[in-house]
Amino acid sequence: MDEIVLKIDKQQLLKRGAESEIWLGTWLGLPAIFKIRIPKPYRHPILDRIIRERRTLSEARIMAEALEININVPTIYDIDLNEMMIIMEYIEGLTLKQILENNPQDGIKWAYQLGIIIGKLHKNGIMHGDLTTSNIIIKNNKLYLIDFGLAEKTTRLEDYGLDLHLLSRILDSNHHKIATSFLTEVLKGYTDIVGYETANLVKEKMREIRLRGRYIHERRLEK
Amino acid sequence: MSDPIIILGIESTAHTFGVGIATSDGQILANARDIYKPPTGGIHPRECAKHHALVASSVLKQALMQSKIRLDEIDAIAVALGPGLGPCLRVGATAARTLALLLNIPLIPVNHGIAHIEIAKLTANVEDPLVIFVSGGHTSIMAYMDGRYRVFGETLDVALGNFLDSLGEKLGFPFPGLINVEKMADSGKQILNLPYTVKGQDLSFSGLYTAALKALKNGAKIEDVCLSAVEYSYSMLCEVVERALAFLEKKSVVLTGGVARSNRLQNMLKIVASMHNATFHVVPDEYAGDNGAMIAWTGVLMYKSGITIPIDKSTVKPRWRIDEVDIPWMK
Repeated sequence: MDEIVLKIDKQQLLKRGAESEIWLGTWLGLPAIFKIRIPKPYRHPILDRIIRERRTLSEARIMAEALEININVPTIYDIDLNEMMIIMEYIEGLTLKQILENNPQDGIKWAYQLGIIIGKLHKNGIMHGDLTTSNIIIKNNKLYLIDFGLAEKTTRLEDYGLDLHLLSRILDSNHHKIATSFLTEVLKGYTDIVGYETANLVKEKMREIRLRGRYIHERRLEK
Repeated sequence: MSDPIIILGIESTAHTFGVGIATSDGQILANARDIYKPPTGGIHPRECAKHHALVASSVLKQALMQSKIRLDEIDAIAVALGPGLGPCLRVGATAARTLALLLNIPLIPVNHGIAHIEIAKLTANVEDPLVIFVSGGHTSIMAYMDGRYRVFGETLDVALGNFLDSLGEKLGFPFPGLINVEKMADSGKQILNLPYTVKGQDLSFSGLYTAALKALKNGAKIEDVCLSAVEYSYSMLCEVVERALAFLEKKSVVLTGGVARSNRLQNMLKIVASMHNATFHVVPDEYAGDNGAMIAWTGVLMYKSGITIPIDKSTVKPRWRIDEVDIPWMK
């Protein structure tokens, strides 16, 4: 059997987003996620390839960096720059969104640890960019972060504030009852990692962003 | 039927001194202007203000002649109090105050950015679009929500038009450089490796500017630098527009401001809009750049909502943000 055939054995489209398609399949017999960045017809074709290639590489690089600082992220199996595709480990578990919907008190237990993880990312100059409760997966009693598609290397406090702001918005809109207590625990864990001074500056940024009321999270189009 | 309300509007936020006349039935009766052309480089605020003061009365006369309206038929004077260059704004504000006092009619404080939005909505005949406002001084993606136009994305540094004009200037093209940069881009063949900066919903052009000039210095062809500058910057804008459309699900998109005249940008945004099942509209050329007609038309909307300002409160606001302005006529 040809290895190439095994590698591109995508079976089921899980999600079609604004920027990419997520397929579930197998890679060398392992269950795997295939994330493919799709071309944009409005862009100059060469520029389109440049952008998709940069983002594919950047996403993979940031995931590798996250792994180095002991954050649980899917292991990357392969990168294909012809298809603009990242093949990675399939994390089969419950999303934090599912847990919070079914058993909020059980979900809250993860808040402090989530804060620690976000703190570690920011301390290492990484902004996740899309911290929704569906991008957090609990598997074997371990917390995983997925989808680094909008992640960036950044030192701007504004970007860190934006990360937490997005999370708090999602909590407010989807998990209203526990939003405040959940966020309080997240910020506790966060402060324990980045320290009081930075945490306060970032919290101030969160407040500014909220008052400006203009950062609206991009919901990927789910079809 | 009662007579329509007639408003005279004055624009002087940057290089254009304009006077327009609009009526409450959506007619633009006059759109006169005189544009300051700097001998070299960009706008010098004081020189520009001097120009405005010199041409003010002749532009006003021209507008009255175009419209065949007498001064005593005008119901109120609208003026762009900001955002813009202080010295330029003060010329328009002074002219407007004088007219309002002379004719003993109300003065209406118009936000220049809101006027770009409203004239585009009027000409496109759409109610609630996603607005893309791109000019030499502005780059914002906006939509109406809860009483105001909310900014969903904007530039973190220079405006799109300013970026391409400055590049044009460095390449030795006359002001405004954007048109010549685009023309030169037509014969470009290679897309260079330059920074593409989209931060969340916001854009940044300063890194692209520096890198484009550096590429030129390192021997890249001028045509390729122009092609790359145009394609990178417009693609960045399109991406933010796409994000806003995906989230807001607006059914129409309007492109307004001076950069709206760009064919390449129009074509790209047309595709973006169709990908999201939205109609696409571009403000007509005569209302794309700064003009008095858009101030007059916004004045009509504000007058009907009862918004006027006492003369002694009518100070200019050089940094007046669009999302600080209440929009009662949208309700």
